[in-house]
Amino acid sequence: MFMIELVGIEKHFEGQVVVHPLSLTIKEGEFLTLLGPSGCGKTTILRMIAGFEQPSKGEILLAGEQVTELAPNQRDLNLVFQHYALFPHMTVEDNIAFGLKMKKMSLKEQKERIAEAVAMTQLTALTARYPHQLSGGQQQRVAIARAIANKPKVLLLDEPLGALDLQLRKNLQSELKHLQRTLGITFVYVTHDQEEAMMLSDRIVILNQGKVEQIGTPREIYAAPKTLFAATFVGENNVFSTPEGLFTVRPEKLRPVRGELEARKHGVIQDVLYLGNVHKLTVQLDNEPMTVTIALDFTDERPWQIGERIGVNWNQRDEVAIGS
Amino acid sequence: MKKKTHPLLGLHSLIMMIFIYVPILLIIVYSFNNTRLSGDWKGFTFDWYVSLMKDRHVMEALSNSLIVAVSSTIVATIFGTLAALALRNVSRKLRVSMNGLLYLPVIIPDIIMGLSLLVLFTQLHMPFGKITVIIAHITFSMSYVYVVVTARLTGMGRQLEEAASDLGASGWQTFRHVTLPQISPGIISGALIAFTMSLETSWSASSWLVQALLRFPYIYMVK
Repeated sequence: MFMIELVGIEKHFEGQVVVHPLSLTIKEGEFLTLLGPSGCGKTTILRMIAGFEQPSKGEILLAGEQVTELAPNQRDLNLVFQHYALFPHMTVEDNIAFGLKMKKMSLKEQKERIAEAVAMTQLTALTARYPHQLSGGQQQRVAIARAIANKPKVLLLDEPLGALDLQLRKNLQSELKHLQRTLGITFVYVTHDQEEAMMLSDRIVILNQGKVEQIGTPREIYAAPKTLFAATFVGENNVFSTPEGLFTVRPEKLRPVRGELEARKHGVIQDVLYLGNVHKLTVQLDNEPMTVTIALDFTDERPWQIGERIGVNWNQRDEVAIGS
Repeated sequence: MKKKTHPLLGLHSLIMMIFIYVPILLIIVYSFNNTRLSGDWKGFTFDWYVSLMKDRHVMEALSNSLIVAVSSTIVATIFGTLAALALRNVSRKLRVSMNGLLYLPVIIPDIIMGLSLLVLFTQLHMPFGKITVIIAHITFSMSYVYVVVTARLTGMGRQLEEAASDLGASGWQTFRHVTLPQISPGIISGALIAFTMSLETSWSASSWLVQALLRFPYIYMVK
């Protein structure tokens, strides 16, 4: 069953096209990510699903029902805002209770829902605090608890971890994934962080300048990007140009070779980056204005020197044609 | 954590406090001085307060000022807040021009404001009295409320209201539970400014002239 159906939706703003015609179906329980750089239209799409923006054309269906014209408060979904948008004059508990109160839920049921939501987000000890008394990560948890307490059909998340530091992001990413699996709610997640998208999503929609570049599972997108943008936005990549068109080879698929061995390309090592589990060589190719990046894993213990001439090899099957 | 303040800054504040409050303090002290002429201390007395309380004109002026201030503040606060809320949802162009228009009464000299209202009330054949003064005070104090509440609304942004709406609140519920609690400090300070402006205008010299022009039948300050 489809939880969300976007049928040819587009958004124009002051004569400019912000979102080009987009059709997309999202399955029940799916974790779908809208991934793209800032200004690619991903937040606008999310806000159209939430009901804060009206599509200029097209229809939005939620669980099979037409919601295009419905106001946000009449849609059975919830949004986690980028900057949390917690009500500053309410305690954590009142923030979480807000949606339940609006639904005129009985006090007993409210209590149960709140207890459940705070337990799931590890906020039980903090219910009496005000938002300004919480850290960024705790505020983020409150925003999520406030949304999931409503048991919505769909949870929309607009760069929910964007304002947090790296370590906290990593922790919350796995918490979010766990939460989504436990709840079984459909998640539509917006981010510009490709690593985050890869880690969390069942499917990723790559957007660029209001257009879909590719839709696919993380594996499909990494292994078989369809456009130049998709190939270079997600993960590192090397783009080679031939008279027939462009193809890419991932850094870990390239092999450096020493001596006068047969190699597809030759060049000079410009830089050696040691990153612990991998090290990377940047190689300036002969007769070509480009450098390639080669990623070597920890088993490679050969001492690569800057300025050294090497050959670069790869297998034909690791070439991914991406058109022009 | 205690922040260190530069010692000169503290000294500066102290001097400013003395500069502002010592004259007021002196007036209070000398109001108990048993002499018509200020300057020398001639002993303690409540006489001046007794004669002030007995002065029908002064007491009437005071009560009129308070009636005008309280009623104009209430109306101006409601109108100013409503204007601020309404102008949030119009096009940028209209908002900018309305902003200018609403700000005008703040910068316009009292005398011109008074004269223009005088002309208006005469044209409308409105009898001059408390009502016309209250209307006059509403026209300018509303602008102060508008400016303060608008600043508060701008600072608040839209996200909180969107969050409320997303959680199922209707327009009224959003206003009642989120917007109003958030802007209430602005509404209160706007009302305080409106009240102060009204009282001050009632007692200020230029307004005294305007009120005279309006043939406001009350005697101010001096018998």
